[in-house]
Amino acid sequence: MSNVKPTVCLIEDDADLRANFKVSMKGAGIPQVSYASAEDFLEGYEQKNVGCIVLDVRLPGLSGLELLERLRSENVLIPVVLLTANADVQTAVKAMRHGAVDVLTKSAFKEETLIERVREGLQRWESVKKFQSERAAVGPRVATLTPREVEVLDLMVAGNKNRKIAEHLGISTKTLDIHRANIMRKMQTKTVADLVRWRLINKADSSGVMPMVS
Amino acid sequence: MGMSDKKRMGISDSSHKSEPPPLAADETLVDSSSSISQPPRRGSAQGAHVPPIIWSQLASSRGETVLGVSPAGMIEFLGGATGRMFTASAKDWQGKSLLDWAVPEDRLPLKAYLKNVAAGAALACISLRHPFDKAEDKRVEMTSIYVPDPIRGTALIWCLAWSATEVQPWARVFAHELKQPLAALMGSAQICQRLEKAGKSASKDFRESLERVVRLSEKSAELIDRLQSSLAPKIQQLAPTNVNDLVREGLSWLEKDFRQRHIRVEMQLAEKLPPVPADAVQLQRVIIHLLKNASEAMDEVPPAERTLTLSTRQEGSDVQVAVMDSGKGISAGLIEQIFQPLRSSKPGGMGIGLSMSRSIVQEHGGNIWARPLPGRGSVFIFSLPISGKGT
Repeated sequence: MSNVKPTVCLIEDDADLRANFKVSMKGAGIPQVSYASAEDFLEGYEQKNVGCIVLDVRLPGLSGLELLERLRSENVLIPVVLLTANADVQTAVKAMRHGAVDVLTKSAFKEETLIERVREGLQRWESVKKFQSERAAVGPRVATLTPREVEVLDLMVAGNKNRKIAEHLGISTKTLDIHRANIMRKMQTKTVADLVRWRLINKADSSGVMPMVS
Repeated sequence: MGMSDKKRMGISDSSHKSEPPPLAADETLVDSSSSISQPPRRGSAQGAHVPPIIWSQLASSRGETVLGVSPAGMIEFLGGATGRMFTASAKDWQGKSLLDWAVPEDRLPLKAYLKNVAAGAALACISLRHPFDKAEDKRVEMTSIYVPDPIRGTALIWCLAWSATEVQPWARVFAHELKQPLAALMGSAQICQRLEKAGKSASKDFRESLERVVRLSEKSAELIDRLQSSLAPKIQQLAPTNVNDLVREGLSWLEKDFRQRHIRVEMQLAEKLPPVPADAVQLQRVIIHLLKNASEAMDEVPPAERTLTLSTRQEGSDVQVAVMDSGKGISAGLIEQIFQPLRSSKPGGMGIGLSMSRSIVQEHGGNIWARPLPGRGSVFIFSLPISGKGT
C-alpha cells in the first residue's frame, strides 16, 4: 500500500467541467487528475493511485455505465460518483447496483456536495483497501488450519459455548482446548474477537460482502 | 385516435365511398378510395395520387421537413429539419432502411404501409424510433405520398414529417446540448463565489473561472440563437401559387385522419382566386398545422358536432384562408397570446406550431389571426397579399 494521498479522478468529455473540477478539488485539498474518455482512463489510471472516480454517464466511446460495469467485473472496487445530464431512475438504479457512491445531476449540484461525495468515496476506498489487506493477510493463516480446526473455528464464530462444541463434535473438552490453542497460535491472535472478525473477512468476497452467519 | 375507434364505428373505405365527404363535385381528393373511383384530373401521368404543387417543389428544394425513401424502404435523403430531428449525422441514415427506425412492433405495419403508399394510398401515420436516443421510443406522425422521380427514374416515397408534436424530440436534443454549458457555467459561477468569499478574487483560478462564466454564457446564448434560427421557416422561392390547390392538397393529406376522428369537412373555396406569390412548401405547413389544430380542438366535443370548415376568398388585395372548428373554443385572453412562441392551449403542446405558422405567413407579407366564434369553436385566418411581400 502506498502512503501517497489517493487521487480523485474525473472522467468527463467536457473541458469546462474538467477545469471547474480542477479548481474545486484544489480548493478542497484533494489531488485530482482528469481524463476526457473512459479509454484514456483505462490506459493511465493504474499509475495514479486513484481512490475515487467521478464519472460522466455519457461519454464518447465507452459510456460511463459501461466503464463502471467493466471495472466491477475486473474486481476494481474504486468508489464511483456518477454525473448525469438528466436525473433518470434507470441510470441511478444501475449505478447503485454497481456500488456507486451517488449519482449527481450535472446541472443541479453544489460544489460542496461534489466535494462531500468525493471525500466519502475516498474514505470508502480506504476501508476497502484496509479490508483487502486484512483479507490478504488472513487467508494464508486460515489455510494452515486442519479441517477439524476449521470446523471448530466455525462453531466458535457462530457463538457456541465450549461444552456444546465438544458435545457436537463428540470430543472431550480437553481435546477441544488443544484445538482452540492450535487455532489461536496458527491465526496469530489471543482473542476470540479477532478470530471471529478474521474468519468473516476470510469468508467474505473481495467487495466486503459478508456471509450469513449460521 | 386509433384504429380501434375506426373499427368500433364500423367505418371503412367502402362505407366512405357510399358516403363521400361534403365536397364540390370537381374536388379530387388524393386518397386511395377516391383515386380508384375517379380518374385523375391533375398531376403527372403516372397516377392520381401525385399532388401537383408541393411535391414538385419538394423535389427541387429537398424541403426541410421531408424524408425520402425508396419503395423498398431505403432512406434516400433527409431534409434539414428531419435530419436534425432524427439523427446526429449522415452516417446514421445513409444506406439504412427506414424499417430499422421503426419500433419492432411497427416494422410490419410500416412495410405494409410503404407498399400501400406505392399502390396509391396517400396518407397514414407511422411510428418511428429516434435512432439517436435508443433509450426512448418516440412516436412520430408521418404523412406520406408516392412520387415518381423523373430525374432519377425511380419512385420515391416522400414523407412529410412535421407537426407540433414532432418538434418535441428535436427540442429535447437542443435541451441536452444546452444543459452541458449551463452545468459548467453554474459550476464556474459557484467557484467564483467561493473564491471571492475567501478573498481570493485576485487569484488565477478566479480569473479563469470568471472567463469560463462569460464564455459559457455566450455559448449558451449562441445555442439558443441556433435553435431559434433552425425553427424559423426558411422561405425558399416565391412562385405564383393557387391557394385553393394548396388547401385541397393539405386537406387530402389529413382526410383519413379526419374521417377517423369523425370530423365533417365543409369546403367553401372561392371560385376564382388570383394566384399569390408563395413558397408552397412552407405555406402548406401552415395549412396543415391549422387543420390539425382544428381537428384536435374538437376532440372533446361529441362526434356528431365536429365540423371543420375550410374556406378561401379574396378580400381586397389579399387572399384569405380560414379554418373554422366547432371545438370548445379558446378564451379571449389566450387568443391574444396563442401565436407567441412557447404558448400553447394544448396539454403537452410546445407552443411552436402557431408561432412558426405566424413567421411563415409574415415572411410572405401576410397576417394570421384567430378569434372565438359566437356559440362554439374558433376560426383561424391567414391572409396573403396578391401582389406579394413589400407592397
